[in-house]
Amino acid sequence: MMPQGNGKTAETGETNKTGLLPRLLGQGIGHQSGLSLLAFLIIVYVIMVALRSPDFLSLASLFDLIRSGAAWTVVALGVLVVMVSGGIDVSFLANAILSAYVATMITKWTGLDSLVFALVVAMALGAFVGAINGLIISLFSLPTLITTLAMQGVIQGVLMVFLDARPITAGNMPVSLRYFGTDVLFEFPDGPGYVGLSVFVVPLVLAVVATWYLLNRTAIGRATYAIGSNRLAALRCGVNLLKVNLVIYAYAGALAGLMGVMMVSDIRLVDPVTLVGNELIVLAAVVIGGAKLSGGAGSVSGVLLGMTLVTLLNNTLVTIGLSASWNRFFIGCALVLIASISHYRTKMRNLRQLNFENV
Amino acid sequence: MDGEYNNSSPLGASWRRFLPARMDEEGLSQSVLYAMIACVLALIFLSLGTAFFNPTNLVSVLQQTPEFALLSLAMGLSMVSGGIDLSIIAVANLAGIFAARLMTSEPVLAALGPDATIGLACLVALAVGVCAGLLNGIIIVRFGIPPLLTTLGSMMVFAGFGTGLTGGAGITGMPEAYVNVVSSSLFGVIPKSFCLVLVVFVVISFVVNNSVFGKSLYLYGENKVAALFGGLRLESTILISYTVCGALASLAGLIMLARFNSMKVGFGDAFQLQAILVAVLAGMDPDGGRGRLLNILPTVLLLQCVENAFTIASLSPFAKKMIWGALLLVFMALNFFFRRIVVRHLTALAIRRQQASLGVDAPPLAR
Amino acid sequence: MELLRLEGLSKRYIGTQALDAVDMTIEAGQVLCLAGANGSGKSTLMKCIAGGETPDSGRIIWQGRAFDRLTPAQSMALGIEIIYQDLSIFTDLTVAENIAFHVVQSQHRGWINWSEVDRIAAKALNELGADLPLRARLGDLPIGARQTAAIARALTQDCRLLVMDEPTTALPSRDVAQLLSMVHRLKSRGMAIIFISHKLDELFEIADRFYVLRDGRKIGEYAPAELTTTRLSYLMTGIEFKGDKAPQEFDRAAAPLLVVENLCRRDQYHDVSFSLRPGEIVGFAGLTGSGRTEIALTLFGLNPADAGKMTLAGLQLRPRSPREAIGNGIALVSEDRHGQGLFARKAIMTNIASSIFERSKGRLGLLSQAKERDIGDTWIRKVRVKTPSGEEPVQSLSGGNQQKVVLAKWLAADPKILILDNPTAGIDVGSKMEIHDIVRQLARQGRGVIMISDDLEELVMSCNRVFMMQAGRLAAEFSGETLTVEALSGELRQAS
Repeated sequence: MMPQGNGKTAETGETNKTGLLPRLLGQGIGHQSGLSLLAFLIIVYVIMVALRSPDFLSLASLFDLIRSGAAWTVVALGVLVVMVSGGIDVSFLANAILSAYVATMITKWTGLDSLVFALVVAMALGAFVGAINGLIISLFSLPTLITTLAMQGVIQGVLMVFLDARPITAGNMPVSLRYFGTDVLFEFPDGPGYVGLSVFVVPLVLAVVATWYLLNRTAIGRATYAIGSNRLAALRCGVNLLKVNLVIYAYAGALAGLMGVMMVSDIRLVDPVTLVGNELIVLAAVVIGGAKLSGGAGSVSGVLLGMTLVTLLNNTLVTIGLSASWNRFFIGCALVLIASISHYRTKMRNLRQLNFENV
Repeated sequence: MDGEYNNSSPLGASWRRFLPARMDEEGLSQSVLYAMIACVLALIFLSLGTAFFNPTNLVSVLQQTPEFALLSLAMGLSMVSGGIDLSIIAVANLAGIFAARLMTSEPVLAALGPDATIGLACLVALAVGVCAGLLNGIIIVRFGIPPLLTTLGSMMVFAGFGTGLTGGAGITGMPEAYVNVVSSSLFGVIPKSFCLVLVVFVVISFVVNNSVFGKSLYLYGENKVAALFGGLRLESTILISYTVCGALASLAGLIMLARFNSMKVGFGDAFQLQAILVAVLAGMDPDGGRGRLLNILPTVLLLQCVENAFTIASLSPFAKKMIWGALLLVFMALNFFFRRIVVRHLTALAIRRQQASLGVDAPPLAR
Repeated sequence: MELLRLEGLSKRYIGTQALDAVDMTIEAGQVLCLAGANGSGKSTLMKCIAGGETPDSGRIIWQGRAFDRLTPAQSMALGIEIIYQDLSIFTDLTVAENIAFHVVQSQHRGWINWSEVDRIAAKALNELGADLPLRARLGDLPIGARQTAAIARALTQDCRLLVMDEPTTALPSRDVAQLLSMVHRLKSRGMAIIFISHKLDELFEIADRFYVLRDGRKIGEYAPAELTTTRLSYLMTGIEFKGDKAPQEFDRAAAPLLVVENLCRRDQYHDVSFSLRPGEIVGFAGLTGSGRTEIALTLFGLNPADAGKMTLAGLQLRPRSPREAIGNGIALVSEDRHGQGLFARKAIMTNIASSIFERSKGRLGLLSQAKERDIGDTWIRKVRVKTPSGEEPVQSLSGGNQQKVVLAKWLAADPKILILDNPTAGIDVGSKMEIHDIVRQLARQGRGVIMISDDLEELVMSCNRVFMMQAGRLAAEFSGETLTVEALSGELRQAS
């Protein structure tokens, strides 16, 4: 078990002031130490894989990892923002496929075969649907999980019934989207052929930077942490809950739209019934990365690490001699393990402070 | 002193007679539920008429209900304590997979004969459910992880375990005798599996309403800190409740196995949303402490009727999903307004009482 | 210059009329002390000013501009800052960000300059003469530091009116003096301050004017010269306290019910020893955080002691959970009635019966509704809860009656020792007297009672002995002739 000493030393600060800072630094790593554990797990796993197949440690597998994880990481960043506010969004994949489908159709219909246009349409629609989530949740103060679960059904229904969506095969997809899925930024010679870094890294980096900026450099981002940390206090400090909710759910929706376009470009098929059903893996990755379901905590670097672990498990279980069907099992185990450690520490610290909330 | 309420508010007494005896949220959402059932049935009748309301079809509604009802009951039970159990479908699948493995295993069949094998398989499946539920409960109680997070993780563990065991493929070809159990009927009318569900519902809701366990569970859901300070048996209560959830899920898994004559991870995923929908519609408070488990049965039947009507009207499964989602949103929004009304009502009531009591007790104000 | 005027402000909650047509004015550069017992509506009044609550009726007039209600943002824009009792801080954010929160939220540049945030925070802390690690997570700091951060936050804005809601309650004594001198400095700069406290001594040190509130109604406004502590406390409670005690006789020769020897818990209390005889009522006075509640929780199995011995009726006592403590015959009526004592939306009878579910279950471990109603009705009658029926939810009762339900719940369990933590906080005078009666009756039945209270008169009236706790130690003991409000408040003043 993690040292509880950390939790205990903090209280002694009440009586003596000397050495407050060092002890606080030790405390401050609370979140960091979770991430170090995660990084440690990842390294151990990579070593395990590398022992089995030495050529795993190559640029090719790194690029492959980035390519297959990029879209999921983008959408996970949106999930992170919502989770920091203390909410849970499970409608994002339905939103993603709806946005991607509509964007593809509009691109085809208008003949404006441009990737930028498709992305703008998808992200705008995603943001709009996300904003509806935020609006409903704030107006009726509803539980976020159940609301977005219901919204997932509604979004899928709209897509399948009102838009009468049919799969669009590669041949019928806009050319720009097909290229988007296969384009590489730059290539290196590797053995007989070339390995290239997928162009997906561009939206990935943009999303990472934007999310980091939103959460750490804007008033709304800080308000998001504040709401997740202490909702009542945030309201008393004049934080506009409706506004913040609209922005963050819309932002999560926009990232979902972006992810949708990336996904359909990647698999070169717009299938309206794909994606939905994998929400929980994304949620798990975000939580593994240190975000708290109750809100107030979570970081972009955590999401990157969490997504790395999940993508690694998805891609490489076969390499260590297990069928890929075990991946969910291990992701679940990692989730339970990491959540157990952090919550057990919180529980013990709270008990010590005579706070019996999470007994 | 007790008498003062008889004359404190004569006006209040007269209009209160026309309202439910206790105008609280539970009563209100129950009334809303029954009104909704009536409306929906009327709607179905108007649009489909005897295409829906004929004995064969009604029996088929009963036949399709059992696993859905059991899963919803499990979800509702987890909500009583303010938790949620997202792992029920995965547990049902896992239990079903274990049972299916046993029932299709030649050596076991050869050694025990079909009947004993079926019995053993059912026991093993139930044991899987109990263990899974126990595991959830232990994690929640020991480490203080919120149930939502615990069951999210354990759901992936169970589903992943099942997928790993089977490689994601389905197991088919159950013994005839087993498949027949579900399709057979009592008196040739009521499906046996539905009778089982009926018994389970009555027993569980009776126990929860009348036992120390059940009362502790509700109080824990209402205010867990007060439950701790009140010296209630918390750990065992939560453990039991999640264990029962697991057992119910495995029972649902067994019924699913018999119905499809096959089992794989992912069967019944749609029940996840629907079970939450049913629990909330039936008046279970996701924050815990309120709701009557018995209300879940009529709600399940209602939704199954609607589902059946949709099928007759040949709507796509996504249309159903959309309607479920919309229904859930509308219902929660309605509850939001009703809760306001109730709070306003209680405030006014309390003020009247306080003024009445102040008049008796308080010393005159200074000055 | 008149800054703020309130006209006819009213507010109701379930269970109480928190404010009843309250009028008030405050001028710049003035310290107005809002005095009132717990539950008199002080906090609600302040929340209405700060926008945390919407008044049902009445007007708020700020420098001639009239408002029906204020939102938190509006009120802050006007220059009203409030430091809430619960501090309303963000434990997940750093100290600097907590202090500069308003600045961060109100800037429109599109990005946050973190070094400026640090600068603002450092400046505010400097003004307070305090020193905190700016980049530490506030949740990792002790309560005193959180309080300091909350006060510093209020100073970062162009504040015209500062409202402090019981700011000294959780503060270690050395910080209280510093806080009061801060108040003087802010006042001399022309800031208006509304200072809420129920510690009367503090009030006399800084007040320009007293405003007394009782049961949501304005009792009057007074200059400090017109008042004495006794007079003020009469105005606050409506009870003339004549220094009378209701001497409770008990058998001094009887074997002690509870003996506590050298009990220690790191950072909470040290070397605590006392005994309690059947029929005795022992009081604990002291500041919040002095270890009173901490000891109570130890006896109740929620806060295990590091060292020391507890003996209950001759047997070693070491409860590891409230369940065990209750099994041993110890009951605790905690101060946080809503959080720890009641199931608000559940029926009164369920609340009462909850403590004896197990004892009253019948065959097959079942407990019928009828049995529950039986228990409920019996106790509703005995403690005289005013309700038409035991099936009403507890939240429909007034504060005093809710507290009676909590008492009834524990009386039903028939405890040997009853621990009361501020049992009459926030309830009306009538119920207060009734609760005192019940407590005395309990002692007469041979139970031991431990009463923790901020209300010194309550302690003097009810207790046979009173311990003064100070920084985790039993600093003094009062009984018989020495047990007077003056002696207690003198000791308490020394503590701070």
